[in-house]
Amino acid sequence: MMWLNQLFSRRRLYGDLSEEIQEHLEEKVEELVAGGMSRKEATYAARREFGNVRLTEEDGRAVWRWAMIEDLFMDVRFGARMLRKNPGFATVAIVTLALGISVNATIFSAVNGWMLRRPRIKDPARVVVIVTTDPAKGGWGWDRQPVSAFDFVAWREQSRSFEAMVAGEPEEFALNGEGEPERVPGLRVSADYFHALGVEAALGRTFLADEYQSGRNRVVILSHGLWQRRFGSNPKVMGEVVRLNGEGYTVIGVMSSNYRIGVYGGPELWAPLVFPPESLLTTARGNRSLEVMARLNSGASVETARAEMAALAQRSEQAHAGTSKGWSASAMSIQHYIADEFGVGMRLQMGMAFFVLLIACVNIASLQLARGAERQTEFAVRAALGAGRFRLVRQSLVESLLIALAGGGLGLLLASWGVDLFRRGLSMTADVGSIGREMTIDHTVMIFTLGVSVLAAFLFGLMPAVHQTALGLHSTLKEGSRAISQSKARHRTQSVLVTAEIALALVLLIAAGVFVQEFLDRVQAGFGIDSNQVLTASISLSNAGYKDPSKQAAFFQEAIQRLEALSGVISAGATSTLPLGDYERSVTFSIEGRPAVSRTERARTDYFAISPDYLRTLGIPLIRGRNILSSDSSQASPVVLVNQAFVRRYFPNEDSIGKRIRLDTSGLDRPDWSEIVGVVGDVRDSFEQRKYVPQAYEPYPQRSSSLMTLVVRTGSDTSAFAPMLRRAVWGVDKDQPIAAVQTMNQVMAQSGAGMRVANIGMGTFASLGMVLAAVGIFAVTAYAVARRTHEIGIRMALGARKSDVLRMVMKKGMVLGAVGIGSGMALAAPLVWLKLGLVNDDLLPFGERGPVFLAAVLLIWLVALLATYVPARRAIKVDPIVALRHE
Amino acid sequence: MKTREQRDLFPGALEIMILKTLKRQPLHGYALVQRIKRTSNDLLQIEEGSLYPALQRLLKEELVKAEWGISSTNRRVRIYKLTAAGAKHLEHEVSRFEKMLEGITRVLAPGES
Repeated sequence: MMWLNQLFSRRRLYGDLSEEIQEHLEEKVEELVAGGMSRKEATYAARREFGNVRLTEEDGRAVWRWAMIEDLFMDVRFGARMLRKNPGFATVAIVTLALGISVNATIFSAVNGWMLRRPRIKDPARVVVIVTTDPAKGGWGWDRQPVSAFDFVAWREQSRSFEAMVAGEPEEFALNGEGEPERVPGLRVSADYFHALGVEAALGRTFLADEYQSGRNRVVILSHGLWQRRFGSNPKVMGEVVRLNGEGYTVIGVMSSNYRIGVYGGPELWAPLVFPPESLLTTARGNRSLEVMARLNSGASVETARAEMAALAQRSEQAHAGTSKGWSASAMSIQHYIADEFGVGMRLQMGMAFFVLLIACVNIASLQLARGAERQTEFAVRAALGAGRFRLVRQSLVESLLIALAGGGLGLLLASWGVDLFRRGLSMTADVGSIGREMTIDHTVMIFTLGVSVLAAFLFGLMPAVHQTALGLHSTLKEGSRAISQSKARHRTQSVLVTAEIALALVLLIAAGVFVQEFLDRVQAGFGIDSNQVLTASISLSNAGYKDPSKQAAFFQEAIQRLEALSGVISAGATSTLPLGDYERSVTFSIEGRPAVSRTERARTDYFAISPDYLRTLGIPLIRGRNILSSDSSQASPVVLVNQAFVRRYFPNEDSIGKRIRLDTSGLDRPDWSEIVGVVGDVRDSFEQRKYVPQAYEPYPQRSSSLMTLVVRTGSDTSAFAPMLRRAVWGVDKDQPIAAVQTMNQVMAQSGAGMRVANIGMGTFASLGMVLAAVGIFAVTAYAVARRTHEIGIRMALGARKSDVLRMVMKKGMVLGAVGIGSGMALAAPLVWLKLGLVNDDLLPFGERGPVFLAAVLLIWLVALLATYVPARRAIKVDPIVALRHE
Repeated sequence: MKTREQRDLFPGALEIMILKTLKRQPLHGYALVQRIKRTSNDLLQIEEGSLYPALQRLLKEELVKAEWGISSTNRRVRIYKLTAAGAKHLEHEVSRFEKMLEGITRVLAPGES
């Protein structure tokens, strides 16, 4: 602690030194006086002999100082004083920067919460996700698919890169017991699953090896959340039997509340996965439903594992010719996999947020330059007194750093508000609502914000700092007192800054414009249904009693009849896939009379199994032919309806009615053909989807499904009808869980929620960027006009007309605007070629967005014009007399 | 303005002289200056003041220590004393200086080339 002692004893040390020197001088004087000199002469002589007292003292003290740090403190004190003396500049700079930093901190808190968070498993860096890749869907990660049981079993056997390979198969369970029946997302997991991930149960245990034998696999592990919610955190639940899908499962464990892999909700219970023999047949190789993870052994890396998986997939393809042609397999780190779920969209938002920050920085830099006139004299004086260039630059940077830190602090405050806003936007749906909770301002976000602030300080501080200190003494002192026009160098730098600002803002505007346009297009496009006064309820017949397809059909038939019988119901129906609500299900199909091809090469269509009144209930129009009737039972000859997009694509020049197609709805080829009996209107599958795709409808008694969504059109208050719907369903089976009952309008709103939040983000960035750029242009023009007041006065005194002056001032702004727009277009040009795979099979065509480019350019031009015009107006109102007296 | 190089013979020379002088007996600043001047027969034109920063450096490195006391002329003075570390440092520096001097002498010696 030597240095600490020195720090505190320094005052004494300095005192000692001064006193000592004083004593030295006095002793010398006395000696000289004793030698016969007069006291006055002696004093001079002593001083001469001694040298510069002040400097000696300073040199002596310097020994004890940490020069760098103390100078820095001095700079900080001085910088703070300078900012206090210029509250206007300080406020504008800090607020501008806070806006720029807040959007970055907000977006980063999402990235941090979603993409960077480590899965809560042992050593996640050694865990990879194994996926198969669909040759039909190239790139952007959209080609990633789950793994079939057949491949999993083979690859687990053959691979050499892994300590363990495990699989999970998502399954929804109907949970019965006290309270209402409930549908719970679960995961059936293969042997060693938890062991491979290195996680233990918080209570009880995980599965034993013999619990993977058929007959002994009726055991279940609960998630902490389910245990709390449904079982009141009662530890006595261990060993009890709960009813899942109508069968008894013994509770053997509860997972910790920490355990979580992805960012989405995740399963609420786990049960052993036992592969049924038919899933291991070659014909089942295409049934991909397993989420496979593996832990790398010590010799393997993600890269070697990836190569091995590709090789294994190729081997499987050769060994089982004709199955899964062209499909490959790949491995990627689990963190990478999770990050990719947010992929391109998040990265684009990060990029846009950074642009906003850049614009803010350019603004502050140009403000500092404008202030440079006053500061330059100050700097010149300091340089004349002996301050080095480095010292001056450093002091200027310290000032910037102070602004940046204040801006960062305020930005963080604004960001916490932004995060709140984001979360509220995301809470629209249960699915993304849970990821909203992951978005918080934690210490990582704070460190990021600090880093961004320091970076910003250098971005906006370095250039003016170097610039201000660069000019020689002479030019500064000459210019300082009476400036008729700005120095050329500063003038040029400022112009470059404004140009850059316009260019950046234009890129932001274009990018945001394209996205907002995409969004509006989708809103306006219509969905092909009449969603008003429709109530939906998803039903999954997972209870054991419904194994028989005819039982499933009977259940839905009775439920629909009961609903129709209720007063206030106009019509009721059911569908296997709810447009905008469920993920679309697509199947391959063949057309009778056309050349037969293997399954993977066949055409695809969306597929719905529906009840007769489904189309009427959702208001989907029948264009030609007939609707599905209740007489189209499982005994009648099979029929199918197709939509107009289907006809356009597959029967462009012929009548589709009466043609026969065969849909591959199960693993095996069906023997029978279905006749197209009608053509119906197009319906969009999801909010993101832009174009209509082929769709086919089959009557559900002919193609029964255990998972259906009931749709009910009501006459009056739709949401108030929900309890009656539940009662009607429970009238058929009181143990049947009903998932979220929602109006169709709610379903639609949720479908677009993600995109809307993203759009609000982009729109915010673009407007912020534009406002900041406008302020920048305005400030620079206003400043230039103010500096030229004297010149303008001379011109007007000499007879220049107001219009001449106006033109002169405006011209400069317009030239800057034009150059800025030109460079902005050059910057934005790559966006034209950038195809963003934001939506499956549905790339955003930036290239087709000419009008958006044009609108953005016009808007920026208008802003530049206005920002120049207002100060220019002020210039022509100048009274020549006043102007000449100016300064 | 004189630079440090002009005040010093070579870096560290002043420090060696101070240490050597203090080894003989503890002294206060003024006496130290007079002693160095005298023993060098006024050959070394050093500014009296330049001694003090050097003394501060030595104090900081704990090669000397200082105490306030009363001088023979009844004056309040700060008396510097060599520490054990200072003695060791002096020894080391002197041998280094001698080696250097030897080297310089050889190079400058006439007739040998």
